[in-house]
Amino acid sequence: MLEGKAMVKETDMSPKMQIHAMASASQALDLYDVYDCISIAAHIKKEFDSVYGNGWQCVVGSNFGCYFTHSSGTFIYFALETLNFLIFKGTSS
Amino acid sequence: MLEGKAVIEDTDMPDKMQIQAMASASEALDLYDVFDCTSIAAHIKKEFDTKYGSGWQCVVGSSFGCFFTHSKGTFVYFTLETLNFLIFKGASYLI
Repeated sequence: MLEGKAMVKETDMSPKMQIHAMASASQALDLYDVYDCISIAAHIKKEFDSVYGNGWQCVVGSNFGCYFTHSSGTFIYFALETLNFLIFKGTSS
Repeated sequence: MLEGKAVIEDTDMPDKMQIQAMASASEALDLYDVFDCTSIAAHIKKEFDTKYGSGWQCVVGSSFGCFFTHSKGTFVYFTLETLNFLIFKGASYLI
């Protein structure tokens, strides 16, 4: 499972959801190559849409900056191996 | 204004909004350093929230991949200078 220890940089998610996020990321890294950021992001986003309802967004990469509005309690930013992961549920209100 | 020509990679935005997106990006690059991706993204997102209602998301960088659901007619992905820009309005329901 977790090849390397994931490091949470910032979050307002519940601990259980955090663990799920990192598990999804690790699972995605087992399934896809580390350069295939879109497939990795897709895997995580689809899982979160299934488990926690629609509207999730996922950004994966080694060099990016974001600015966004998210729903309360649905944001996590962490590093795993060489990639950074950002997962949040967007708000359209 | 536009130092270099922006190249649209993919979009479903109306033309006028596309032009606004590229203008905001160019403006942000004048204000901030090319390495300050977050401030650049913030500038663009705030402008879109002001003009087109809240809920916009913006990703800026040279190496990233995304997977997201967006509202209809609110998505643009383009390249300007060394950076890639993704702007969309998030959707929390499927239409």
